[in-house]
Amino acid sequence: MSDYLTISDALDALRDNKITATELVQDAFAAADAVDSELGIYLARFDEQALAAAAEADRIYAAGDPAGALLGIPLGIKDIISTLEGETTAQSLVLDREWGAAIGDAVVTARLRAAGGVITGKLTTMEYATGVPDPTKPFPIPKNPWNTDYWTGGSSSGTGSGVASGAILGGLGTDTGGSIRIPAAFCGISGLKATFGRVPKSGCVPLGYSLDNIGPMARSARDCALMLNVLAGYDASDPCAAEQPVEDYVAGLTGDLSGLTIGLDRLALVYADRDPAIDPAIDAAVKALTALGAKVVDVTLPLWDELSAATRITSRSEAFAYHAPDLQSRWDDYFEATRQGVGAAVAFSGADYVQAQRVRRVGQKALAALFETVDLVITPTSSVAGWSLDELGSMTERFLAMHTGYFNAVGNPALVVPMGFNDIGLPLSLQVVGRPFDETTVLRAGDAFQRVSDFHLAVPPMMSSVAVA
Amino acid sequence: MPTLDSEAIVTGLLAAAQLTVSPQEKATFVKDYPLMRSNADALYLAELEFVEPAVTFDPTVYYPA
Repeated sequence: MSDYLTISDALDALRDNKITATELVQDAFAAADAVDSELGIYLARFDEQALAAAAEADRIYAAGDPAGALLGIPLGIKDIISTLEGETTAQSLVLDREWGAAIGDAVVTARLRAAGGVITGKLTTMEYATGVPDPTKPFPIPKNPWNTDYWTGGSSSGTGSGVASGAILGGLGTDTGGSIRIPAAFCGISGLKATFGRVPKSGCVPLGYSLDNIGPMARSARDCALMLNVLAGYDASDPCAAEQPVEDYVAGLTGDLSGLTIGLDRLALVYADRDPAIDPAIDAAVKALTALGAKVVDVTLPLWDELSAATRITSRSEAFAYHAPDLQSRWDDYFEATRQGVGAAVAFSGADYVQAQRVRRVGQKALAALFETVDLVITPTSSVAGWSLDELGSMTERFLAMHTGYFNAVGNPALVVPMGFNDIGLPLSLQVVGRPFDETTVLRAGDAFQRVSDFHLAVPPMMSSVAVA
Repeated sequence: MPTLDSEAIVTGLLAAAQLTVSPQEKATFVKDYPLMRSNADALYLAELEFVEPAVTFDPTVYYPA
């Protein structure tokens, strides 16, 4: 792997002429060359275009005018987000390839590119950002760099494994019920689902219109802040984009949590088969956050079961509205898990969908009341560190182990950061949630925690033998 | 444990949605149906009687300001 694991360190090295953008991108491609056939990171690579963009970045650095906030940084794009260079497939036989071609760059892709980011390629996902792999379909099976018998989590699978393996320094994921946070957690990296509407989602294949988010995945909270600085902000092309002021999220990373009250909900009872390593890791995280100046108090997140169910019902119903014609005519072309997951919407009525939106309203109010007493809420991201690929099958009940969908129902920002490892060496993850549009405080807490811990810098054992540059 | 009712209901729902599924997939839908319904039924909370859904609609969106 490259000597530079984080975007922040790589930018420092680029500015100090310790490495060139071309070398950085070559290192990333070398890491991908070494492991991609095993991990299933990329669906398409843009080597020629990326190296040309890196050469242009080097020219700008040499001219002494490195204006772009991500100038020369190799970044990957989940393949449900459109790019100029290649087709968007949603890792599906079904999606009309003309859809992405007509769009070119999604707003977020254009923003990364304008900031000097080097787009290295399109990364694996679960089909249409939902479900689990289907070995009968002609796409890579994403595997976890920490143990290749295990799943990366989904659906931003290639972004998770790509960052963890050094094949990219950062990338875009999407999150409808946890698809940024779950692969970030399982792959041992950081990932941010910002407030709903914070980042425009036009140019992204929809899953759940009222739940979808595009966001950054990278090794550190600081890197997520760097990327969010570029990604955040209104764009009229997305009817859900919020006209809220954008802060300098990096400037808010003070390392100091003095004066903050953090509510802890261990969610200990929501999934029976809880990994025993979770609670000791939470205890250690609480100790670290307290040492950083925060006061941590126990809380109970209101309407947990109802809001989690509201997300499942909403996402399935909204996805079914999009997919119904193709499910009717091309059932067998879909992944089995997509058929089962999206098709399950037939169990819900129109009234059920509306009722889910009423639950979301009352849930927002209840959570806002909780946030009158705390500044942040922390939970484990998941009750498990992952599943082996052999265990996947039907995910209906396993989704209960993931503590992410609740926050899609209410829209609050949620960052996940690594907080340790279980007894077989799989990463564990802490979720940090804030008030709507208060990504600054969420990122500040994650960054402060990472100033006193190094789980986010751990390298999967399989990468120790991969030397580049 | 799926009931005969679940089987009949799922058969009807899949037909109404014009989805042609394999017997194995149908069995999974039937098995999952009671959980799906209990999830949805649990949302009909008494405290929601006067709550508006979290959806908005702007009739002016395609008109110039």
